[in-house]
Amino acid sequence: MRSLPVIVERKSPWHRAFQLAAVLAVIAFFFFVTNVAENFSASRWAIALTLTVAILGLNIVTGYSGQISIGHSAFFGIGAYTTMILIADHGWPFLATLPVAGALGFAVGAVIGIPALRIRGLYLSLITLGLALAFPAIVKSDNFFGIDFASITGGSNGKVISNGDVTKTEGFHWNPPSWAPHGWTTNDWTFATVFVIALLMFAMTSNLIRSSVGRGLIAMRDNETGAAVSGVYPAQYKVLAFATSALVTSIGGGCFALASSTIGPDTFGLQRSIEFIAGLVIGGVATILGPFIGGVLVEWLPYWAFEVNWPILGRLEGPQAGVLYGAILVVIIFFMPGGIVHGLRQIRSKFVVMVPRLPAAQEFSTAPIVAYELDGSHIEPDHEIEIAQPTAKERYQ
Amino acid sequence: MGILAVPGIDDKFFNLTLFLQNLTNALANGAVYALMALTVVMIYKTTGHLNFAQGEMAMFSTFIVYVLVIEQGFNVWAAIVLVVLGSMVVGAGIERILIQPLERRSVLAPVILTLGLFFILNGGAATIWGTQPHSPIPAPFPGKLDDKVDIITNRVPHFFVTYKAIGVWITLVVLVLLLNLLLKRTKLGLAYRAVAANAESSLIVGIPVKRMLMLGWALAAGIGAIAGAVIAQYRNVLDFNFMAAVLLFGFAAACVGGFDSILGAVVGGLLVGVVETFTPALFTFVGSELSLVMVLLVILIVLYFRPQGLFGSKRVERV
Repeated sequence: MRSLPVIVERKSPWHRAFQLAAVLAVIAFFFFVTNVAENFSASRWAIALTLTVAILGLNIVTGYSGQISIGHSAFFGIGAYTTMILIADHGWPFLATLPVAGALGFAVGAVIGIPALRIRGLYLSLITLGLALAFPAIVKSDNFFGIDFASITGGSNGKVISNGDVTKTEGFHWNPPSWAPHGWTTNDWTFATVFVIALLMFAMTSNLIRSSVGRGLIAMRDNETGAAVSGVYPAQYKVLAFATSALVTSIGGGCFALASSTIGPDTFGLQRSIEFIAGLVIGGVATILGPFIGGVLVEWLPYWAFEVNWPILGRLEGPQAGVLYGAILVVIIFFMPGGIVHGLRQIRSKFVVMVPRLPAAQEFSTAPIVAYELDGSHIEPDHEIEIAQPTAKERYQ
Repeated sequence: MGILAVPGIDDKFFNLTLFLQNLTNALANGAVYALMALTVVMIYKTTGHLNFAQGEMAMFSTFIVYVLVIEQGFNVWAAIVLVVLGSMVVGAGIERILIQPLERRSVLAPVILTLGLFFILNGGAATIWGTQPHSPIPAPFPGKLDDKVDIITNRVPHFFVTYKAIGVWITLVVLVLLLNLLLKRTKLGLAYRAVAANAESSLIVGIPVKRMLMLGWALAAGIGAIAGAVIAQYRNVLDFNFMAAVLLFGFAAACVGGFDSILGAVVGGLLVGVVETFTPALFTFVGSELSLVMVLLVILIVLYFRPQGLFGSKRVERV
């Protein structure tokens, strides 16, 4: 009898233990960044978290609905600019700007999503490719159908998060409140804020995917006509998916404005969109943990590529890091097509298999089996008949 | 502020020669986009993929032409022929080695792969040849300042057509004619079209489908190599990023014309060129940096009324 893999039923104590371990890992990550890691890295981690939220949004469209969007940098930018403008020019508190950023992203996503009803797969990727390239141009434009965007967005100079004059030292600062742990810097507090928002977005998306909406999306991805026949109304679901995905990404963008405190039009170009896609693919398409891993890698990989002295390659320079990036993408898509999460799951499945909890096995009557002769006389069984209840492990082998 | 800005030196008057000059520029730019759209179509017809690395492949080929011509002293056309052949082999190889194994996995996988190739080629070229623009640029056509046909000289400004622009048109026409000959008059072309129409049935009647997919990539890479060299001269720029924007307009052209139509690629390319040049010139409410947005609008409009593009064929799907 093999002892591995161990079979763990969902909602059993062992499964709860695994879940507890995951929660502890999240808490440990939080304490690592706020207490152990260097101060400058807290702000980088905050930026990484905003990217994870953006990729999470992309995952709704690309992972669960199976449509490739190359335009999520634009939604990221919409969120970032909304938050930035409301804070810097109108003096709003940061948290109040996020709903506005999300709503704006949702609205623009719905507008883009409506033509997406007619267009599938490659066409959507083209439209969104155009969107990614158009966004910086629109932000810089001083004459977009007569609207002077550049005066609102700061044009190609971008915007800095501060009230009014950039050169003044007063203005917007995201200082830790008095009840925050002693010794927290602004960076730590920024990270903590983004951390909580990211946690909320991950929980929300996870729930969305497990709801009937999520199942409808997945059904539509796998077979659109089949899903439509089964009662999933494609038009509604597609627009909803695209708009929700834009909402999540815009909220990521809003946090990005806080975390990076300086934004410019070219922060939100095609390069950013491709980073999102790369992050999603590397992390794991259509998983909840994938965007987290992907976002962290997208933010830290270039840093590691530049700063670390590689064994053979030595220190990499700008374009070479691009080559490395591309090579990682190709290698991942070839050897780990599901991304890191699927790779980890495969390794885990060698040791532990999670199975859904089935309804309790059927209760068998414990009364002795009684048999009769043809003439009606009673036969005593010569031994007890034992009906074996299958164990969880046997049921799956 | 009026809505219409008549293209001219003086906004009040229509200037014929300036209009014609704009039109030739638009059509020459359009022909450039049509060249890239052709490469998009050649791959899409059989494999149904978009190759996002197409522009970078063309850029890489152009750099090799540059090395052969400027550094090694080859004749320009000899170098182009060599590079085209080499690119075709590499294109077919990429399809065989990198794309085919991913074919069955998902729609996403080949797209990601071509995005990865984009980074590798882009960064590779920047590493090898630096990020600065290169000059002199190998010139397939006479490209000096007075290499032009003067048509109207008694007005200001003069109306002339440069040899470079004519060269782009000739390249486009010759390529389209050759492709038509290949596809319509040869057995190879027949097989290619059969695979484009129905891959499974083609397999049943004994057509080597996989080789036809490789042929699509080879043709696209070859056309891309020619297009790269011609575009570099026409636009007078050769650096590691010069094809990125061109490819986007090429995609737009293919999208407008229909992804599986050669004629559509040409018409779509010219249309995109005209829209790109004329909307900022005609309407005051469109800033000149927004030509890209205008092209995006054209795509949206075309997709709304004819999702398969102007000349594309509808795909019927069985469930």
